[in-house]
Order: sequence, then C-alpha cells, then structure tokens
Amino acid sequence: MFGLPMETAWMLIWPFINLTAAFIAYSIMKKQDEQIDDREYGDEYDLARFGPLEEGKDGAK
Amino acid sequence: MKVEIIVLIVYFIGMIGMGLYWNKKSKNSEDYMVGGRSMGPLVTALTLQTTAMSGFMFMGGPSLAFQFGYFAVFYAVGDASGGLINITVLSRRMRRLSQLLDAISPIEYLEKRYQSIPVKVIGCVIATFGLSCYVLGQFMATGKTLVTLFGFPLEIGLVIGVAVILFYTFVGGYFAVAWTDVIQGFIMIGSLIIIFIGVMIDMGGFTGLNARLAAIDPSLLGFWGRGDHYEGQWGVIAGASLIYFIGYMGLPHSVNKHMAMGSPKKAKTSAVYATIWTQLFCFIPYFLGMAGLIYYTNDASMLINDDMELVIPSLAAMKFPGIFSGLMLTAIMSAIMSTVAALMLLIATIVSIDFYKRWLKPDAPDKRVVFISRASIIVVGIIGVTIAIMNPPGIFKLIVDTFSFLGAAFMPSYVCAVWWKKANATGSAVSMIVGCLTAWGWGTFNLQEVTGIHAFIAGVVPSWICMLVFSNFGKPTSKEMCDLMDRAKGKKINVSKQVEVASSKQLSTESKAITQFVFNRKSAVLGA
Repeated sequence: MFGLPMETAWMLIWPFINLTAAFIAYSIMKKQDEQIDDREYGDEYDLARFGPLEEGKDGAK
Repeated sequence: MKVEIIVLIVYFIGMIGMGLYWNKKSKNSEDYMVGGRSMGPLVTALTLQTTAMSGFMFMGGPSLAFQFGYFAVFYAVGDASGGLINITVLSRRMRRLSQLLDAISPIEYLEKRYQSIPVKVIGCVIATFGLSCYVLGQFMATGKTLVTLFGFPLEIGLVIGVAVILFYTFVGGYFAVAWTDVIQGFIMIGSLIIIFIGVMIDMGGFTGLNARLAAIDPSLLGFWGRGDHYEGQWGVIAGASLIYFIGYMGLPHSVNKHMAMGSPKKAKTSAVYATIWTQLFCFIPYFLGMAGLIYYTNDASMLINDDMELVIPSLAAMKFPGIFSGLMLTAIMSAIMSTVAALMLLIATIVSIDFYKRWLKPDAPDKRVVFISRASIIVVGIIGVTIAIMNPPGIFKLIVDTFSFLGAAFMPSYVCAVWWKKANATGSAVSMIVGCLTAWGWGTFNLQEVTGIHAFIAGVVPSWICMLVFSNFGKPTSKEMCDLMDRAKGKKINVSKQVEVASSKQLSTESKAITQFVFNRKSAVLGA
C-alpha cells in the first residue's frame, strides 16, 4: 500500500479503526447513560424520563 | 516586521485577553481549579487532547521520525487511541467519585479514595517532580520556537515565552486554560493540515513520500527503524505503542479533566470529539518529520540550527514563508501553552490545596489559597527556566521518560480507584513507589538499549503487580468507600441519608463539606 511493506502499511488503517471504535463506544455509553440518573452530578433533570419530583422520593424534599 | 512575528503577537495578545476575561469569572478555588465542574463535551475533549499533545508532537515526535522513519509512527498509533481509552475507562466513574469525595485535585482524590495520608504525600512528591520535568520539556520547546522566529539566543526565547505562558495561566486558572485549549486545538489542527497538504502535494502523495524515503534508505519504511536499529526489540515496540495507548490514564494533568466535566453524561460525546481530533492530529507530525528528512537530504541548509527537533518549523519556513509559517509557529506555541498551562495549574493545585489548605492551614480563605496557587506557578516557572538555560535537555527523551515515570506511578492507582474495590492504600503506595522508581531508573541508566524493553513497560508492569499483590495487605477498603464506589458506577442504591452522613464523616476531614455539597446540590435541583 502506497509503496509501503505490509508490516508497516497496517498503521495507516489505524485512524479508521479508532473512529469506528469511538462510535461503538458512544452507542454503548449512550445505552448505559439512559439507565442512570445523574442529576446528583450536574446532569440536567429529564422531566420526560423521570417524571415530576415528588415529596419523599430520592432527590426530592 | 516579519509576518510571522505579527501573527505570533496577535496570538499572544488573544490568549492573554482570554486569561483576563476568565479571571473575572472565577469566583472561588473550585472555579479556578476545575472550572466549577461545568465543562461541556467539546471543551472537555479538546482540553483533554490539547493538554495531552504538547510541544513533543511538533518537536520530539518529528525528530524521531526524522531519525528512524516509520518506526516512529508506533508512538502515533498508541497516541491516536489514548484519548478514547482514557475517557471510556475512567471518565464517568471518576467524575462521580471525585464529586462524592469533594476532591478538586487528582492527588486529593487519591488520598480520599484510599483514605490515606501516606498516599497523598507520596502522590504529591511524585506528581510535583514528574510534572515539573514535563514543564521543563515544554519550556525547551518554547525557547526553540522563539529562537526559530527571532534568531536570538535560547535564553531570551525561554524568558519571553515562559513569561507569556505564566501570565495567562495565573490570571485565568482552569476556565482560561480550558477555553483557550479549544481555540488552540483548532489552531493546532488547522495549521498542521495546511502544511501537511502542501508538503504531500510537493512529495507526490504518500507513494511519492515513500519512494523518496526508500531511495535514501529502504529500512526507513520498515518495522524496526532506520538501519533496523530496533530489530527484534519487541519490548521497545510494545512500549512505544502502549505508552500513549494506556499511559494517559496515569497522568494527573490528564485525569484532572474528567473531574471538571459538566456531568458524567458528557463523556460519550467527548470521546467522539476527542477521537476525531486525535486522528487528524496525531499522525501528521511524524509524516512531516519524514518529509523533512527528504528535504534535508537534498539541501542540508534547510534545517534551522541543524537541529532535527526544529524540522517542522524549518519545513514551514522553507515551504510556506509568511502567514502560514506564522500560523505553524502559533500552532506549536498552542501545543506548548495548552499543556504547560495545565501542568502549572496542577502543580499549583497540589501546592495550594493539597499541601497548604488541607495540611498547613485548613481554615485559609479562598483568596489566600488562590494567591498561594499563583505564587507557586511563578516559582515553578523561574526554576524551570533556570534549569532549561543552565542544562538544556533533549525534548524527546525528557518527555518520553517523564511520561513513563508518571504513567507507571499513577495508572494502577487511578484505574483501580474506580474499578477495584479491594485496591487499598498499601497497594496504591507500593505501586506508585515501585512504578516511578523503575521507570526513572530505566530512563536514567538507559536500560532500554541494554534490555530491549521500553521504560514505560519496565515501570508499569511491576506497578500493576504491586497494586494487585499489596492490596491484600494492610487496612482493607472501608464499607463506606465501597458504597461510594457503587454510587460512582451510576447505579442507584438504597442508602439512607443517615448512612450517607455517617460515611461522609468517616471519610475525610472535609466530611462537613461533602455532606453540605451533596445535600445543597439536591436542594438546588429542587429549587430550580
């Protein structure tokens, strides 16, 4: 490839492997995030997902 | 006045202006040190990556490619994956646990996680020494860049460059560093791509570049480096790839970025941004280093000061004199400034928070803490410049050795802090000491040449073994800490408020602050 011996040519594919890995990681992390309530750590309160805050519930008065 | 000088002056003024602007916005030590834990995904990604990519990428890395050809690209292969690995493994859990522990410095975080003063003291000593060496490498790169431009002695280049860096770092703190990192990230990538495209057109693409390299020496295209210098040395090859592949998880100034993230959920987007940016950035300097070798072989006078660490500035000055050459110099300064500012800020944090506020004067007001922090930045700057003038080291070796030193010392402790409940203070302390001493000895006595094993591998393997073995001795991780680690996973567990308060009280001297922080935060959500 490009006049390179095969033993070094594989290095040129690496950026594409990384980009693929990043998007796979994104989708896995997205699924995990959807299961987690991170309000305590600065995440915006998702009314649609968690519903209105109620007295006595975790995170409520 | 030369166009390059005008471009660089405009850049310096812009960076200092941003420092002044953000200085007005930082109200307390958490703002100054971790940006009030409010950084978005793009800022987190770019600050993480620009901090990681230092002057090494424009000087040390290309000089290795200039010497050894494609062998040097092993460093880029690891580097290109390092940000993704770092974010996916550590980011979310570390962000949560650092908040639960109310830690704003990476050393304070280790102390509270391992519930141990010795861990803090050992961590402080190793981090201060390692980060100062890293700073020294960046100062060298600064001096060389300004020498390239103005042609004056290295000493003057060092003093002027470092003065600008110090000024904008200590007037702005983390907000300034994080936001200027974003601007600098775009300057670095933009300039590099422009020069790369120009050079590759001149070379006739990758095929032309490789044909010319083969004409100089066919072994430049090979696996083992020019003249098969590293033939059979798999330990060096593995170290060259792994040092940046996993090593970032051991750099305090890198993991610090996870703690400043706005929310753990920013991590996934940060991972994508960081990976895209890194793929564009990481490989190009090495190809430019090889292109520089081709130009140099044809005309030896093209290399400024006959210094192969100046191959990229030389290329820019020769092929693109004027505004593009100026932009390249600002890109180099961006890489240096974004890294050195983060390093200085972290050293300042360790001195002002870990030593001063949490040890000497627990009741010190925020104003005094910020003052101590800024004073320590100036002191480190003066010491760094003095050493750089008196005994200037080579950038490549200094940075790789320091990276190995820090990575080997801290990686097991940071990874196990969130992934292994059994990891305790004994394991962490022994791992840090053995890891850093082995890596330091390997680099100092040049054992890589003798053994064929890279200093990073030599340090990180025993460091991990020590963590796994010695965590079986000493005081086990407390039940309260195990509960906090469960919370750091992001799963909801049923812990009563009484237990939360009780556990917080036992965890650290800042128990009151933790309790107030957590419950005030909840109140704030409710109030909104």
